[in-house]
Amino acid sequence: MVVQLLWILLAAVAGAGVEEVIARIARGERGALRSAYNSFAGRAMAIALRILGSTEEAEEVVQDTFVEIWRRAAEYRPERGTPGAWIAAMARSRAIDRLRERTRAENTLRTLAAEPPRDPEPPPSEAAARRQERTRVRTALAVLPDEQRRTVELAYFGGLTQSEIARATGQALGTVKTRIRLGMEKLAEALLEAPP
Amino acid sequence: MTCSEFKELTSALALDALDPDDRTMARAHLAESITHEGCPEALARAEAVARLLSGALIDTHLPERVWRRIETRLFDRASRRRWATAGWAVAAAACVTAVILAGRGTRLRSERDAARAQASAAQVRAGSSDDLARQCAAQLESARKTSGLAREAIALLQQPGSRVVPFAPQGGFGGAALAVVSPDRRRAILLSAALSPAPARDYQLWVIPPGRGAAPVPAGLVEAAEGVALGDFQAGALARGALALAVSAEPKGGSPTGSPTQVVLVAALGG
Repeated sequence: MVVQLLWILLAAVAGAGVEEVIARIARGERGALRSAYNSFAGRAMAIALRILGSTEEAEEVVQDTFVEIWRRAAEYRPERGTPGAWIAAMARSRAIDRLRERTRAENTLRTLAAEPPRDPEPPPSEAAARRQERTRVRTALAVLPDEQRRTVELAYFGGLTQSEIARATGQALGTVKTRIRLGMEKLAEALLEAPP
Repeated sequence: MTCSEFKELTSALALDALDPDDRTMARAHLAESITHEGCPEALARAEAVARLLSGALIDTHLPERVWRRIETRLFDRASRRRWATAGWAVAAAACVTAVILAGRGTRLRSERDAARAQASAAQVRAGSSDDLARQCAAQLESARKTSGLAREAIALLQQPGSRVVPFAPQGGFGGAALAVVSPDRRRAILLSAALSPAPARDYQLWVIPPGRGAAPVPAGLVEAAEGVALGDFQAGALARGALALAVSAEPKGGSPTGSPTQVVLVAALGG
């Protein structure tokens, strides 16, 4: 019976685009929420795990994220990004909030001490488009000078402000600002202007 | 802050890496009613890059317990809260939830039984509206079998804050109807056993918007599914808000004048 119910719900969303799934969540369809979870929870988990370094906390962030998606789906605006990007931004925001609840010193030390986690194996079911997206972003990051890439990563994945990065790395604040600006501009050229 | 200064900060702002004072100043500049020199566009560009960065990661497998916890947080609590309100609306909700729970097998059987017990208690308290609750329950159960719209009504009813409003008959009309209304009143679905369209007659939905003397807005036709009539009030008609919902009897195809011909049911939404 559970399977039948699931199939009914899945059939209801079958053929609908991902954006339509978000619209259905906004209308209160549980099956659509499950569909979005199947598509994007893995990404949300990866982001939260990278930021927090704790599986338990990262799972809680994923829960918080999808509870928020259920409640705020009506606020989603396609013109501001894909559903995947919207959900990823929400997961990151939740993870950063949690990170900042720790003491600043602990946060900074943990971030700096953390080695980038080893990549898990991509799931066998991973879509080709997802693989291409990852390759493209990684290539864009790889061509940045090391100090620019590290500074951008400390901001994005470490949740550190520019001042915190300056203090933690011993760099002048102006240097940190310049690295973030230059790094992000190069990423914009690679990701937004170059053909996929 | 000048536009040039703002644009120097957009990357850090998009990464949420500005210190609090700088962030406040940057946001204040963006909100200024001046002719910006590309400030919103520069921020949008930086935000687009920031959104893409997570794409560098490989998706991480999640155990099924995470999904179960999400379900528990969202739906079990909503069900319990719904049972706490009295009256026929609770009984109807209990019925619908029981329909869902019935498909969940042994694991949820005790919860379903508890829900039914609570529904029964609510029905006793509801007194004179007991019959209405049973009618609603029967209608929803029947509709569930065949209609996607009924499934949507069920989902809407499970949404926290949704409510059921009864329609009052007008002009001696003998039928009754209910509408499930979303918390923000942007969605409303009508259910009735008394509004089946006939060869020469349709029932039409109307939204009465707020404002003195506001004209009713046509909101679609009632459709029948195995003896149960359902009506999805069109989102466009609800966009301006709704003071009340109504149903009219019309010639086939709907009102020829753009106004209700014979109003048969009205439901006040209040405030």
